[in-house]
Amino acid sequence: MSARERDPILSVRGLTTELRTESSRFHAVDAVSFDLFPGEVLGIVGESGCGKSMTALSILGLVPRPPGRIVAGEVWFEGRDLVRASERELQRVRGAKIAMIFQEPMSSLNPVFTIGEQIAETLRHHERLGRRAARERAVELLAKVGIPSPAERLDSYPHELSGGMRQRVMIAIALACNPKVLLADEPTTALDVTIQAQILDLLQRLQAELGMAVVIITHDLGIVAEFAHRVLVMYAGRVIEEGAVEAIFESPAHPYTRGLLASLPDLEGEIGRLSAIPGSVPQMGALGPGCRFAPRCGLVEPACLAADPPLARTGARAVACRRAALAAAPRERVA
Amino acid sequence: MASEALATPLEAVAVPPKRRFPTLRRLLRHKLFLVGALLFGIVLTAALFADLLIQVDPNRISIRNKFRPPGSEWIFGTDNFGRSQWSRVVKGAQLSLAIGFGVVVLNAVFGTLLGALAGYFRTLDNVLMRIMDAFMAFPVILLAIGITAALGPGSINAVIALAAVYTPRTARIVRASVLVVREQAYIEAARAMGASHARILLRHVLPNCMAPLIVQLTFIFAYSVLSEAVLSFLGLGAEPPTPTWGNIIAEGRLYIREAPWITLIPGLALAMTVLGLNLLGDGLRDVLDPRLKVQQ
Repeated sequence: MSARERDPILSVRGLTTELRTESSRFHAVDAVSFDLFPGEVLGIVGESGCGKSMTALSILGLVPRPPGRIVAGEVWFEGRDLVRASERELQRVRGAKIAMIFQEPMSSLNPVFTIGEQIAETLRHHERLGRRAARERAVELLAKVGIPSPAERLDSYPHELSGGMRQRVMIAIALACNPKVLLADEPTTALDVTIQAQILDLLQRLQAELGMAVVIITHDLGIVAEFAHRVLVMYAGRVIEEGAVEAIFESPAHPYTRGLLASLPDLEGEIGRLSAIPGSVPQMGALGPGCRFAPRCGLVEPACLAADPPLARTGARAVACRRAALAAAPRERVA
Repeated sequence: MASEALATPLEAVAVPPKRRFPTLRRLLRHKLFLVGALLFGIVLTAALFADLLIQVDPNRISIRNKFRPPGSEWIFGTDNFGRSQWSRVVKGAQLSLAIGFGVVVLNAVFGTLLGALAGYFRTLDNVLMRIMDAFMAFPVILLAIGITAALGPGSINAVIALAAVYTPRTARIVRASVLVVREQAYIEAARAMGASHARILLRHVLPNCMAPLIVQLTFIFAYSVLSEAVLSFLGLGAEPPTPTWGNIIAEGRLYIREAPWITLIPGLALAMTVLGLNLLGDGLRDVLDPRLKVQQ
């Protein structure tokens, strides 16, 4: 595969999660495979509903059931397949080895307990710390995530904090047990732009400091460009393109990725209308046999509708498109 | 507080000064709650200090003094056996509230247990709630009468019967709140931090379901005091010489024309208790509910 010397810390193979509704059933996550290396920041990008959050939830076995169910695949972490691990084993991994932060900082904290109690709870639960030791660690953690006067803040209730502060608290809780992997599911989406930048800086600083591997899930390509080392582009439940950030931003191979990048406002070029990808994400319950992006693709040809192209790997890059070579040609427009 | 607010140092802007007991403050500003607290407080005081408040044994018969109207000698008058109405009504308050309290405790335990299980573990929901529905299909008093008839009369059995009758209602309320709370982001976050189901249910879900439960239990208290009076009126509560509001009224109803105070006074005590508890419950609902919706 690639020229990395180290073994991946998290290895996802063919992960497939099925969602079942009254009228349909479909694979919200469809044969997703990727490796996460120690100290690496992996970005997963895609539109709403493309399965990026579901992928993160599937890794930790948190898919709500019903309606969801992992139907195939493996998630290898520390020599264990988390898909086949018991609930008890998973509980020991969650929060301690693999932590997760969510999109909604406003409602991710329990309103009836102080933030100190909530940070301490994780420590007491996973590390079996005493009440006092847990409290001391909680103060350290709050200081680490940049909350002013942490000792006093410890006794605040979540409603007394702003959204940015709450997300900092969530990060403190996630980092409490020094996890090896942090899954950040749209950690800045619900925040103001200025606060977004602060939280992102914080995550970046902590990632470098603690050397943990981070999976950052976002629809914001700016965040990926700034923070991630490697990117996974997802569309309709599938990984359609993978590669180093620079490579993907410089020469996107998949028409969808090209469309995503083209839809970003360009600060240097002349002012004009932003380009958009025509159409919308397909109905997951009613997918044809062909490429899932075909109905919206400007480069579509009859063969694209016949079979869904597999993810073809060349070196560190991978792309799932029959016309990838064409699409990668520098002057080609995606109409 | 006012002078303190003026002297608040600047650092307090970063960490706002803690207002203690905000819920209690709001309750004390709620007028109807205070009226309810006063009414129920009177009855509760009478029940708690019953033995200090009564001079005459509630069961001492004195035929010479029968049918004495309320006055300076007999505060609440006497009944057909010349027993002190004051003693009987105060003693009755003790038993009524004790039974009400017993029902509330059993109700809280079983209602919360069943409601939480049904709401959290969706596979249990149908089984448990259909059983609850079956219980709720019967009129309250009829079912209570049926259960006491099966168990035999007596105050313990009345408590069991009333708890059984009211538990499905509490279970429904708890289930409804659990259904809302279990979908909250902080529950998912707790799962992601490795909490077990038991831990999530006890530590994260139930504490967030307390407000409606407390309100419900206040009403259950009122209903069970009333229903207990009905049961003992029908002779299914505590056995006769023991005074309860229900059996005092039952005995006095024969003399309602000549000695209306025999029925009127326990009736008023009952009305006062039920009204007081209802006002308390309304006040709690007004104060606790907005907190659930508006997290500031």
